[in-house]
Amino acid sequence: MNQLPQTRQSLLIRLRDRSDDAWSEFVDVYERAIIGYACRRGLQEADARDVAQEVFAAVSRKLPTWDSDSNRGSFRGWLFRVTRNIAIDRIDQLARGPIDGGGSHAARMLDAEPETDPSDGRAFQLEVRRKIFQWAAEQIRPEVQETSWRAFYLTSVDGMKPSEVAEQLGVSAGAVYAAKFRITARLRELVSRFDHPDDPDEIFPSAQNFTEKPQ
Amino acid sequence: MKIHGEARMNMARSNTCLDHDTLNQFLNQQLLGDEETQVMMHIEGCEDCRTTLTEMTGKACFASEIRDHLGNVEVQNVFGDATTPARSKQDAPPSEDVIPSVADESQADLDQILSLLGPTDDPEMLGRIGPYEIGGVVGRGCTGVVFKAVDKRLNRLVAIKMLSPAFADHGTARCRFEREARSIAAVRDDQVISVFAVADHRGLPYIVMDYMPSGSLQQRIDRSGPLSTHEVTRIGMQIARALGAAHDQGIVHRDVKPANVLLENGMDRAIVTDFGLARVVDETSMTRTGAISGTPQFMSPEQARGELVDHRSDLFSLGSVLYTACTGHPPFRGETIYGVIKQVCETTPRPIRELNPDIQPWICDLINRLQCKDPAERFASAAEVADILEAELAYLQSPATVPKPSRAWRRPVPSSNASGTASIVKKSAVAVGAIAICVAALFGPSETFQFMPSPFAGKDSGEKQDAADSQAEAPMEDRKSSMVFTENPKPKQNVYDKGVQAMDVGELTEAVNFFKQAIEQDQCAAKAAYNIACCHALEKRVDESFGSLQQAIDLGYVDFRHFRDDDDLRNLRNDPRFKKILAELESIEKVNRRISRAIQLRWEKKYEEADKIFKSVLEGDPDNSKAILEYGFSLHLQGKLDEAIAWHRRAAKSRDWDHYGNYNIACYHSLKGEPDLAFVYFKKAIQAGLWDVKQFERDSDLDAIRDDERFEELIELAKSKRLESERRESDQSSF
Repeated sequence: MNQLPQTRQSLLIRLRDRSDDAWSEFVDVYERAIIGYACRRGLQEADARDVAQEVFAAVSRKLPTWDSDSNRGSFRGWLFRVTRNIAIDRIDQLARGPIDGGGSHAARMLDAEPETDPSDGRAFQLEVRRKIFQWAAEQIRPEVQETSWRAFYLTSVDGMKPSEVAEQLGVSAGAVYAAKFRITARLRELVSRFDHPDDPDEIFPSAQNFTEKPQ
Repeated sequence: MKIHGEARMNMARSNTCLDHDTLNQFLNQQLLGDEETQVMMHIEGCEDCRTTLTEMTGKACFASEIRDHLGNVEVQNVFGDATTPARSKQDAPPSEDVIPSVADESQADLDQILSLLGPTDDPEMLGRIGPYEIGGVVGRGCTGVVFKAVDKRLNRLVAIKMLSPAFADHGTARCRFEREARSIAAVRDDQVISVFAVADHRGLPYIVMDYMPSGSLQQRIDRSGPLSTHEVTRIGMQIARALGAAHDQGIVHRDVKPANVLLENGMDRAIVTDFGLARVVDETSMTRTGAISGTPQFMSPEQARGELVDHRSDLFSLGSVLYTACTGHPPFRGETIYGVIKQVCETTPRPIRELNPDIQPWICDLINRLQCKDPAERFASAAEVADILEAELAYLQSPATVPKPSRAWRRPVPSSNASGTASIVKKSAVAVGAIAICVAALFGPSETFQFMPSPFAGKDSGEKQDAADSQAEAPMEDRKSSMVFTENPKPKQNVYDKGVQAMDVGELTEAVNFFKQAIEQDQCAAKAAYNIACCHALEKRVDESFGSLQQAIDLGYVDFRHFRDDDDLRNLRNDPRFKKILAELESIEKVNRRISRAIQLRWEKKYEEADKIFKSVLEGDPDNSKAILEYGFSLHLQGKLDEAIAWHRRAAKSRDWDHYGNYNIACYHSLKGEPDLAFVYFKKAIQAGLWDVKQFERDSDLDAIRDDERFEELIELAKSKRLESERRESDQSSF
């Protein structure tokens, strides 16, 4: 059951409609995930940025004809595959050049932290998801009063009791609940813009219910 | 079953649960004031309804996602969630090693470093480090040296910072150097210098970074003196952003000073550099030798005393940097290092506006707050400072279209206090002011809208607005120091303020009368109209309220959020006319935001993207004069002068931007070598209200006409116009 008015507007559809805002949202959310992935593969930042540019170019070429059936899978899954292929190309390309110690050593060094997450794809998707939430939070924050935002943050993120938050902020507990519920609802509305109806949950294998389908 | 009106209110009080419709309306803020309060009271006590609301707003996994993804909203670790961000140095065990003193050995040290370079076959180069050809030494620090180098593979210039051999065998220093390098690499921010690689060369670790050919903020100040409010705001915002990004990674810069702020393209982009190395030094220098390496001028008191520091230390230093940018001199000066330290710890710097009256008061207040001696009294985070400056910058750029920032962080200035207190000694006033600001901050942001009398002159030019701004909001010590011509201020009670006071005590009819007078006298007319609308709305005189709202909008008050959230307007909220107004305002705001975004892109020299936005705004609204002006300027900056001129002409014909439009035309003719025409339009610009003399003297577009005697005449004209306007504003002002 879902009682919220659904203002879902798939980002993918809006992208296809060539909306500037949609495009910048898209770049905003995916750029960091792509760069992060490319860096994890050992590329330096400048190269990772190039990879991101190439991925976006590929997306803009592909979008007008995007068809989930013929591409057998989700848009995000496809995007990840494109990213991986372009990153690998770039690594090969650099490897063919005259490489001395610096670059590759640096890559190893920067990558030296133990990789606790063996699945590149999952890390990529999590990073995307994380960025979507952060993007949504950035949209909402200026829309609401600072006190409401704090009430939401302290209860939903910091896990404080609403009664404590109410006392700290000098408002009623009811107001804290109101802020918490309203901002959560708005957050979900914004986050769901990134859920493409054709996008199966496979990309979040650890939490199938990340994307809650409306009835 | 739907429950309405009275019935619903009773339900809210009782223990019976609310139905979905009601809860849904509650979530969407569609309930009227009373009903909403009732529902709030109900859910406060009814766990079942809260459970229903929780289900309606997302399941448990959504809640846990919120926690996970927003918990560290600022942490931007591109190396994936698996890696832990670098911790701040306080977590590291204290060093037991002894650092060799390097002060006297610097030359020997440099020679030693140069002797370590690998051979190169390029005669222009000094040698090689790894794959990099070293072109020269561009900087020296206590612990290392900075080279300019070429990455031949990518054919790009890089800067390479290498640890000095004196530290090579120092395990802790080495280890920290490398760890720092990794964490800086993790700080991905446009305002932090990019790190391309970290490696080592013959046992010496080095960092490869973006090479920035332009000078530092220090050089800029040395060369051309104090900066304008606008420039300080822009640079300050970028430094604060950079520090925020670093702080989120657990890195405290500890050496924020003008020399460590690089300015790319003259002014457009400020980059913070020299992270990390400073830390390796600072950790031991005080404890080992009792001397401080580097200058303490920009240190925080706690840092100067050798105490442990956290991110708020950088905020103090940021304040000192901005102070220096505003005045041309560091805030704390002394004959000796210890003299400076004493100053840093004990004295309050001279008020900025005594040294540079052109600086706007709000930024002086911001700097004062950054420079509070007690870290707890400064702002909480660099990000907060950056946000404030960003909002101010948007306002400085487009005062007519961007709503005035709330400045809730600032001490509210009730006009009744400000009028008759000229006897306060200036020095103590500053100290009291700083404390008051900090105290105000402790109580958090409050709804200060009605207490902040400020002209909301949407139709005025930026210059006029600025002049008015400094009058209306200056804390008294600042006003006194700058306004030589208001030595005998006439304390005249402002009718707008009287209206606000009457409104506060619920005398709505009286308040409306005062506000009507305010409109007649053109005192905060737009806000006065808005407040009249609020009064009428509270009296449930809906039609009159709408009339006043429309008047407020026509006068230029278009703050969408305020209209939407103001509780005083709750009785209008369900009226379709209100929704229509909101929709209109939202679209205005949206367009303004897009224009601001395009301006931002233009600074970043992403002209293509910027122009795309300008064009699309103009497609939707061909007469948007702001877009016309800014698009023309963008073309101008790209050197497409002949394309730009058509847009300058259109801007010059607009009501709001005629001054800038004419100025741009003048620049065009100056560049084209047509001085006579240039002067015609230059004069028009000044007559239309553009008096930014500093801009005139600095703008390279006007180089061709600057030696002409007519230029001097026009500068004088601008100065006298400005003075005249300030005098007029001050007469009108309540103070």
